[in-house]
Amino acid sequence: MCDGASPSAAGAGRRAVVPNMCVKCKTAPPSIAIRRILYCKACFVRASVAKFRTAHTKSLKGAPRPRPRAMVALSGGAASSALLRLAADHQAMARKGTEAAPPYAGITVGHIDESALFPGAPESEIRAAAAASGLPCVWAALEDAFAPGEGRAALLELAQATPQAGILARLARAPDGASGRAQLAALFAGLGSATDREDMLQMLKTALIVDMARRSGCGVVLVGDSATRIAVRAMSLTSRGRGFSLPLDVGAEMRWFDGVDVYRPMRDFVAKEIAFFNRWTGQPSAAVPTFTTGQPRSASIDRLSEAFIVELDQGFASTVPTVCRTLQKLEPCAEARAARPCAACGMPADIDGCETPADIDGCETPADIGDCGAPADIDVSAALCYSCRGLLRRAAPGTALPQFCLARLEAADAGARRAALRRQIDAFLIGE
Amino acid sequence: MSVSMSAYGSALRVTVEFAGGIDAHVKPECLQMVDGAKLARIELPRRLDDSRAPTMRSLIAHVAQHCFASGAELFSTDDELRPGILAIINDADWEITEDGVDKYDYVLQDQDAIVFVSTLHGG
Repeated sequence: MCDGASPSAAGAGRRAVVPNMCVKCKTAPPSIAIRRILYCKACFVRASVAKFRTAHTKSLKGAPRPRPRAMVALSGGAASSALLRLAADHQAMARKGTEAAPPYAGITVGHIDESALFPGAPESEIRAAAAASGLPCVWAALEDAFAPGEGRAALLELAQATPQAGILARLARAPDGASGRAQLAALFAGLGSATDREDMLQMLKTALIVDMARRSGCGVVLVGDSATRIAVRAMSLTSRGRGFSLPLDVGAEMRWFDGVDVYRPMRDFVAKEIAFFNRWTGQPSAAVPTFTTGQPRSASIDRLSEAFIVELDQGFASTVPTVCRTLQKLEPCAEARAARPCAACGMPADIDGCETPADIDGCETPADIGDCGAPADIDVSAALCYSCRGLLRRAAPGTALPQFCLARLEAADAGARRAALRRQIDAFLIGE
Repeated sequence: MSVSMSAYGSALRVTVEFAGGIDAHVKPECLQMVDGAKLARIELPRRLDDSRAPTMRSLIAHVAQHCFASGAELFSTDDELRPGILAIINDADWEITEDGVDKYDYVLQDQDAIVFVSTLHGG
């Protein structure tokens, strides 16, 4: 019953559906209904562009001057592809003199290649779409998170994790000849669930994109989080114990990473608007696989949160905007702003509820490192946020963490503890 | 839904495009790549077993039954689309209906172009 078809066979006449006309021009029949408001195709695209510029301009009010370069974080999915088009369009229109000044000194496209984890990832399509934008593009791969830092091959390897002994890790050298891809695969194989794997993937991508922005001289990263995605993430992050950093994770602007601000200018678009915008503007996008692609709704907390929000939104069309309006009222508390970054996720670590190394009998602390010749176990609990402590407790012993975890752990320590850790890292010179 | 052309005369022909990742679950033999779009041509009887004309509801049930080898539950539940999957009829949102009219009751016309696009994360 199903066979191929040519496009010429498609396309009957317009349906006579409603007597109403487009709410904007009032002359054309509607092509889309957004929360019962009808738009024709041209007015919808125009309204989308205006909506983006309004949200984007609001975020730019706090941007430093002279304006920095910006990096569009392109995953290749529908939202980031629409973001790429809208951001490039905003920049180009300003250049043509329709606005006082361009939003940024320039725009770079940044993409993380996920093919090491998802061999079916449409990398060629994504690269073609990025190249078509005419903007400079930079790439990183997930396995780059295991690239040696500062000429040292030391990695943080989980040793033991128990409620009594905290989360013990030790410095280790990557297995001889192990490629970054192999280490990446081992990391994800050592995680306990799809939820943990999704969490770790997000950590890797965030760390890599921020690092890539810094290397490219970009002071701003634009991410394509839509209203639908933000509502889902709010549910998911809260369920995973990330409430402490939630205001930063879902806010319009995230000023947390040193020298790099993150903006979410797609925050006022629901997923349906993005799908239609891409279709009607010819913006290509790809289906980017995740760990739960094709899986049932119970496969992970993220998947379940998405099902909850999307199903609720189907019955109550204002669900997503209502959740997002509520989220806009969230402000990071003073403790969160002053908190140290978690050694794993890089977000504020709530240390109040954390076990301290002193509470744990028989455990070496960073202060003890270097006093004896052999590498000692380090309790990393105090350097982790609540959610990452749970994630690493569930991980298998022997799991090696990405390189940036060790760098953050070192940065979190001070004085003699830091010097001791540094001495031990220095023992992992490449080529030794 | 059983379809027998001989019993119902000429068939109603519609094209169905799958996008946004839902296409990954459609039987490859059902799909043809045309200008980057993954299209299937569906033939339905002009009158169903109950003598009514085929609607979007019957098309969804038909597609779920005939075009998916597995994972049809990712596309629809019974004869309704899974939340998060949009339908576009002849380049217009299928949710534009008159008050009181169910979008699933749209009566298919010959040569209609239907698009099913997943907006779910990861397809």
